[in-house]
Amino acid sequence: MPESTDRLERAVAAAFDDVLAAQPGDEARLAAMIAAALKPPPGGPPPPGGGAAPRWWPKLVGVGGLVVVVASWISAGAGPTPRALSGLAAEPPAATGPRVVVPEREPAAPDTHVAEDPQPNRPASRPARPRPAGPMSAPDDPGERPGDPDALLRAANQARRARRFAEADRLYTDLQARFPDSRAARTSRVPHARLLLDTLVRPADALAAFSAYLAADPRGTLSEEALVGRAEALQRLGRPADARDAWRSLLDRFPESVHAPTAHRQIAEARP
Amino acid sequence: MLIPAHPPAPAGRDATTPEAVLRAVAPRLLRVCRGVLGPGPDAEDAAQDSLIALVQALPGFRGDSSVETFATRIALRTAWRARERRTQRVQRTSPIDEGADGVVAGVFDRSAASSPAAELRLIVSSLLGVLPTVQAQALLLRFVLGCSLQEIAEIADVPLNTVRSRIRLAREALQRRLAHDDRLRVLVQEDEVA
Repeated sequence: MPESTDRLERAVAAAFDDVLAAQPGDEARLAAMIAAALKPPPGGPPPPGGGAAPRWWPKLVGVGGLVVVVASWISAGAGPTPRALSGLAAEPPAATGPRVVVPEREPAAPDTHVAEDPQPNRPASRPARPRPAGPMSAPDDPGERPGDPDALLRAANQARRARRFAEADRLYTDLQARFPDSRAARTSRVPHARLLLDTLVRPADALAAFSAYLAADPRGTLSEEALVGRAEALQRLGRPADARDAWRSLLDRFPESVHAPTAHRQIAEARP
Repeated sequence: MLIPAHPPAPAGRDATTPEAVLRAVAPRLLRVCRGVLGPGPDAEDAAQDSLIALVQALPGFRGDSSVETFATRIALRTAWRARERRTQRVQRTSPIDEGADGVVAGVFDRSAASSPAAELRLIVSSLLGVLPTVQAQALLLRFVLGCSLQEIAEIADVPLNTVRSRIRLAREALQRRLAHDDRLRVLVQEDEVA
């Protein structure tokens, strides 16, 4: 039976035309994404990027890993560490079907986004992302004292994801104090502010951090998140009039924002 | 049409290599992610994540469907999870009141929507957040991305009749929303007549 689309379907499709249309720079953007996706993970097995990958390579890696662990076990005269064992438990990538990796969010060099919520249950065996080195692809060593702003941001974000909130707060603060003019410091203000607002319940500090980001980079990649955060912080501080203005600022800048419904509701509720 | 024409593999390159596969499906994945998350960095981030997941999944691809369908399924799941995380973050501080029929009460200030199209986008986007996931995804694939019923059945890996049922329910929910909207009610009326 031939399919036909009705007026409603056509109207919805037309409404999304602009959203879905190719945008300037898409070609370069996609080329960069493909290059990043094909880049082998650091220290990991090569992805099937250069040619047809045999299906057995994950098994080969597993066997190789077993040999390495057993060898280190014997040479150390002790049992394998839980961390080494967890490496053995790593699934091969998508052995039987699509396996969606929910990766850690890392900003590429020019653009950064607010990192997602901490995910304490993330398995340690998850393979590293083959993205270009970014400020959030952190090393695991908690004792590392990062000496550059990107490493500090990486460490702070990792601490936040691991729910070491006080440490994350300290690292963000350290980053902003030591490298105030760096891109990493500017970027860090938004995830730091979100941490202060949602987790550490310090809305005044959060407001200052969101405002600092907006003052330094009013058109920055994270400005939408910063505008939302500023409005929420003002609400928490019991300043409804200021919060309403902040929500309006969000709507002025980002009328199609995913937060627009919330903004409309908050403005309506705050209406005198 | 969901699948934009993609460029052929450059001369001298094997069209079956992972690179060629990625080049072929990447525009489609970005389009799916923009459909789920809207334009902007979140969608690009999800597209990047989808491409990475696709590279990791390709060795296990058994050819049960086309590679485009396989890739779309990955992109849809990846973008949907990103959308859910974003929604959770928003709702943690601003819970949305939902009525029994799934209509979000008091969310839209309709006078603020700049055009009927923008208003329709807001309504559809909001609906995606309150419908059951399978219905919401069917709505997105059919109405927003323009997939055929067969494509949706393959992406969702369910029978065609299941897809028809999901779309019918999603359509009814959308019609209920539009019936309350002065500017968009006409779409429902004409839809019913048709």
